Amino acid sequence: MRAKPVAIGVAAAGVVLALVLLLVGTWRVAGLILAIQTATEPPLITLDRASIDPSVVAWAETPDVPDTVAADRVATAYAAAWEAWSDALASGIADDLDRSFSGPALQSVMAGISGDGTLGQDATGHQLTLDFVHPDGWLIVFTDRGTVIERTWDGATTTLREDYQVLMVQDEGRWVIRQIVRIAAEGA
Amino acid sequence: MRFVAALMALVVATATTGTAGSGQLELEVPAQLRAGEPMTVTVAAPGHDTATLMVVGGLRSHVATLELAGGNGSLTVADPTLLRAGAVTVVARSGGLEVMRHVEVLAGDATAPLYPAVSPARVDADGVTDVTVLALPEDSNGNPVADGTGVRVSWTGPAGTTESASTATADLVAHVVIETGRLAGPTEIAVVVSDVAAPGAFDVVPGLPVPMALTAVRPAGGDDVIVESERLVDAAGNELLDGAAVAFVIDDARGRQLVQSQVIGGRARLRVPAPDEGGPITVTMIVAGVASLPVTLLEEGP
Repeated sequence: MRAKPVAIGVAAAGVVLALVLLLVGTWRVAGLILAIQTATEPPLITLDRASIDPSVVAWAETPDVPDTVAADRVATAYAAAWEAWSDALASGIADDLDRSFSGPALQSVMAGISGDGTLGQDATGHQLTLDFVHPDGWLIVFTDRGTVIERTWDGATTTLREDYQVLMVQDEGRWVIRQIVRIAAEGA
Repeated sequence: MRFVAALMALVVATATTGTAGSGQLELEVPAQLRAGEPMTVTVAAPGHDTATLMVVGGLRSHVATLELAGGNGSLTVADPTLLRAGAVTVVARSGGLEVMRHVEVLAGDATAPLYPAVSPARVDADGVTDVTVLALPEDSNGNPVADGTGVRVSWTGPAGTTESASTATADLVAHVVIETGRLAGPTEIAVVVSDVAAPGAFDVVPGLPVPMALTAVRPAGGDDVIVESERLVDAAGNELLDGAAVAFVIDDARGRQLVQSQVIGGRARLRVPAPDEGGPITVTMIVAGVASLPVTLLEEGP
């Protein structure tokens, strides 16, 4: 005859436990969301080989670089910089450019973001060749040859094949473009 | 920058005119400019009132409309696009035609600060570690100076001797490798491009110490014993720097005790209080993983 009260007690304890777990879980999730929303540092993004699209960027041949350089990460960061640049041209929002550019390159690229959508660009086919790498692995110079860039302006598109020489440095573990010099161009 | 020959070939290849239905579209631009100079663009499009222009530079582009009078017009472009050195492409459109030409924008002379970077900034006096001095000479607009710009690097080492090396910018940078010696001390560096100079420095620090001996002295009238190292030097004779970490390992009848200390004046010292219990006391010193010969303190008899 005491089985029913015991069962009710167990059930009640289970409900209370479930409520406690639900509250704790909700509190933790809320805390996590709050932490994300209040974070002042940008999230640390790990770039992996799988994110490289060889039709967009690739080393023409495997570069001889120190182990600390990780050539694939350089290539991916370079492709990301072009994408960020194109996105900024399209949106007029230059907020993310400092994650991909620094120094003179950042000043120039930010100053070129007008926000009026006058000019859009799409770049593919970056073929990279190593020119110089610092023995300590914090600076790399390479040439980007044969990039096909489509620029839309005045209602039509102009396609050029362009070469760039690029100097990238590691900034807090992230590769950023400090210099990018357009060294040649021809109609494509 | 080594693109001049290639660029000029491209200029020849693309300096063409297109033919519109009612006439030609012609575009004239200068072959070269210095960074920051305005550029005069001339367009001839017979039968048309306007032409649109796009000026494509390294990191930005500029679009403008050109009013034509009698099918002719010119425009002075003073856009920041022309602040960046390198290949600039000018594209003109009018009457459904498009032509392009290329302009070489030349970097100016180097200005401060040259961004010298010396690494590593601290090397062991092993005589085999190289130091790389790298500079990023840029003009007043932030352009890398032209490849082939002369750079002189001089350095004065711990012995007071000044040496120098000349190099030239290539691939956007200039760099010199300095072979370090076995004499510890600071090395001051000067990087000079034209009349612009920038300083740098690195330190050669003593390497691992050679095995050292300890001596034990009981000051007159006292019970404690002072254990002192001989002068702590590396294989090249460089005295270890003040503050270098030292560990004394003391073994006595009570067991083993570890005492942390540091090098002062090229030596390390330890005061060992008279033990409460009899028996020998052995002291060993360890610096940078190198152990001294042990010294044994024997309790004097009654």
